[in-house]
Amino acid sequence: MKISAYFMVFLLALGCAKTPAVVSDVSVIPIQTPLTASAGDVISIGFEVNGEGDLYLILENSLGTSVIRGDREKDELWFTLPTQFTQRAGFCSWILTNGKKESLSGKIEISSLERPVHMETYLGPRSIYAGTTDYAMLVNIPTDKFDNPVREGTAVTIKRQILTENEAFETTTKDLISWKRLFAVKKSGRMLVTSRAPGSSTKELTVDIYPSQASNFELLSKRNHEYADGNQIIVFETSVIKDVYGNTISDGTLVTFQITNKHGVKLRTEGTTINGVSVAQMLHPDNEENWTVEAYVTGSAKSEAISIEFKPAIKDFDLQFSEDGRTILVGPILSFMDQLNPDGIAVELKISNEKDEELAVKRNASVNGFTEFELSEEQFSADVYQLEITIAGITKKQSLELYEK
Amino acid sequence: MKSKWNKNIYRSLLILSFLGINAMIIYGISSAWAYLNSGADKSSILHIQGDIEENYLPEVQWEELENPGRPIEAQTLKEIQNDYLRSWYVRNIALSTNDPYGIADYCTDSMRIKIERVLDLNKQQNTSVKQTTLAHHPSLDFYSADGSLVVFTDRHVETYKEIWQNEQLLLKKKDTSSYKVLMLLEDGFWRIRHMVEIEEPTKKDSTTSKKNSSQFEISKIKGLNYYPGKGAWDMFGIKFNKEVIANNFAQIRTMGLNSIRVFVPYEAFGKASIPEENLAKLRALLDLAHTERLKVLVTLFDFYGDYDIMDWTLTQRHAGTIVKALKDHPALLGWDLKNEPDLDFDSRGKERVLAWLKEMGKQVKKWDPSHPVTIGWSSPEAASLSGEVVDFVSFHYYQDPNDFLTKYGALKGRVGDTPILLGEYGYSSYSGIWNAFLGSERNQADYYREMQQYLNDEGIPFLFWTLYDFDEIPNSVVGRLPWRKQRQKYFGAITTDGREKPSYRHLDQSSKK
Repeated sequence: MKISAYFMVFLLALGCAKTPAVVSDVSVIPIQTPLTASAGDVISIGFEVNGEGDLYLILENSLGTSVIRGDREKDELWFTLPTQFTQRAGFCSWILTNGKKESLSGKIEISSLERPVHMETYLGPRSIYAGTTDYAMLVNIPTDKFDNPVREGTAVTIKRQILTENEAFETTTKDLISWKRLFAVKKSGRMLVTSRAPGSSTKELTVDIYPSQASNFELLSKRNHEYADGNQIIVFETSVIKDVYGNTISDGTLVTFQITNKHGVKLRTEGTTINGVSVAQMLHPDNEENWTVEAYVTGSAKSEAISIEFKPAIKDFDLQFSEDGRTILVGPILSFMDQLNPDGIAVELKISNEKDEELAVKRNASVNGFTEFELSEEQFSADVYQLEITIAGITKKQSLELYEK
Repeated sequence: MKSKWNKNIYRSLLILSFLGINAMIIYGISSAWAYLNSGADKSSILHIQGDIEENYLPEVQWEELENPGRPIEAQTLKEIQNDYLRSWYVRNIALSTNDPYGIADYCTDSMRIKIERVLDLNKQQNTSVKQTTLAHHPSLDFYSADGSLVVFTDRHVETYKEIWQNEQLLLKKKDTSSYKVLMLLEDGFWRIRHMVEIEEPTKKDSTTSKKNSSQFEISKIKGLNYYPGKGAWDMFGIKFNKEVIANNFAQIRTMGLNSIRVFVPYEAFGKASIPEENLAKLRALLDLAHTERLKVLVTLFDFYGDYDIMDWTLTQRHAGTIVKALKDHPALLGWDLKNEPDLDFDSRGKERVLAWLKEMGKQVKKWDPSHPVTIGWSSPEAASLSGEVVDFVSFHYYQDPNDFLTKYGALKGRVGDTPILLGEYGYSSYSGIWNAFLGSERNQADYYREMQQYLNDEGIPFLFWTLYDFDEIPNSVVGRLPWRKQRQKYFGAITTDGREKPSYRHLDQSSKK
């Protein structure tokens, strides 16, 4: 029993080793079974067939699987592969079967055409910083006319132009692509990139090389006069802010100006750069002041601190009382040239009783160099009061006696 | 009088028509409102909605992530893997239906057109291809600096496919291939731009096919199919009770038995992604068995019945999780791939079931080469279908005991040297209206006396069905019909109130040598 089984196996093995292969009752001898081809070639597979029976050719590649029927002429059966399979580079497997079992099979290595026709390029990131560390990466996918990636080792030339300089790099394809890191230069500007393989070129691609981070800069200030009149505007201006490589930083960079006054209070204003210069403005204080001003590009650069002194703008003012003493006219408030001080300066009136207890504080803004305070009967009965009037840091004291009407 | 009637009729008609028109207006407004609120919401426009259910889970092992472009982020790698697998999934479906639905989401236009040309050809020829990949071993070749292009080589892609033409199966085959794949990130999807089949690299032959040194000899198996008396067929649900199981196992041990067979339900246990708590229950069961020196034959895929090629990767993840978790457990006897799969031949097709079993067997042996694999065929006639998949043949016998030895002999002749296990046999002591009060515990005892005699004489390993009567039978087991359900309740050797039936004596091995 066992010996006969071995014998059968031996016979079978013999049958496999030698053609013709047996597909049930049909015997098949391959006539033409190519092992290699170029994409787009006409590929035919032929067999000599003895006996009747339907034979199918199953085709497989990386897209999918199909079944085709052949043309039978007497003893010969020929299959012509459809373009879905002949134009696709890579392996294409075929299996001849009669629907019951596999009889013959093979693999055709279809290589892509040598000449690339199309080239896809992927470039990114599209904006980089000037300097020596940042880069953009260019990836090329050259393909033949059937959109197969070209064979490994195809030469692709990458060219780039920065300012007036041209550079070329030779790359070769590997893993379906060729690629190159394109490092920035120290000067900001544009980098134009293109790549070329024999037979195909790409369009021009652009990478913007932006100035790198700002470096420290100087701060200047401009004002019409040095008096704290609460009316004029002081202008802060930076020097042209540049990166470490001397490129003027990008327009629109935000610069923060920070002012610290003599009480330690911080004021802030901001400006964006144009051509590297940022300008910001601030109203003059209305008291004598000493400002310390610094400017920042947050996270990267700052200026030296500058000190700005403001002198008191008000030299003197008068007080006039109405007959009943309940209307106080302050003014004329005179400024540094004995002119009427511009409108809007703050006038403060502090009213205390004789025991020096503060009763009320009234504030007004000047109009045409004057301002007026009313002391109503309801609030201030007949008594003696101490008045303290302060304008721009100058204080005048006056005693006032009020009567019943 | 009459005019009053008429008036009332007009009134009611007016009121009813008023109500009717209002109802129609409200209905119209609400359906217009519902229509305007349906359709694409923001999350679906932006592709940010999570996946409801994983439907394609072949094994994926990244081998190499080092690449000259830029280091890859774990999150991106996961996205690439998901989209790559989905590209296979939509392509598998497209090849089987010849409808390119979904291809555009996972392939760039130029790739999609090429696939559609193949689909057109197949449509003309009335060809359809059912295929699934089972394992992928990608390694990263290149990831671009701006994170929008990736090249990887997917090696040893295991594919199973069936090629059909005019509703007729031409060929089924399993092969491995390797591909170079280039994917691009386009509007939130990683899409395949190029995919070239390359030469299959010679695999480091790690076939760990050391012959099963099955520590436990099949021929020595004496045991039973185990479910606790309460909660049969729902062992790993909320009724899981360690104490009950421990007591039961102690009793099984005192009966002189050494093995049990348990069932892992596919859906209830967690399908493709098994929660750790379920695995812990199964592990606990094996631990308890180990303390009583019992061996456990784990039957997978209970209540599973699809076998569709599209389902293969999911079932393999299910089995893989269990097998990998328990393969080193000392109480493990082996793996029963499926209980009575031959009963699904009629509804699912014999070829389909057998192909699934064959592949599943291979995978289980790959994950756990040291434990034997079997299939619990429902009859001795079906048991010889196992072929090379199984390490020992297992069959169930609920027919006339008089024919047992003949049928066993015939099976033995067909399977040769492969050990044979009688995986299930038993007799219901049910006596009631549905069998005209013809059954009895005496009949059951007679059955077991006869069967045990044969088994003893021939030295056939056995697992009987079962120790305990069950108080409840779920519909999914034998259906709703009361004559089936009632019968199923009384297969035990111990009643629900703990009394030993006469058959117990014959099953108790401790008295025998």
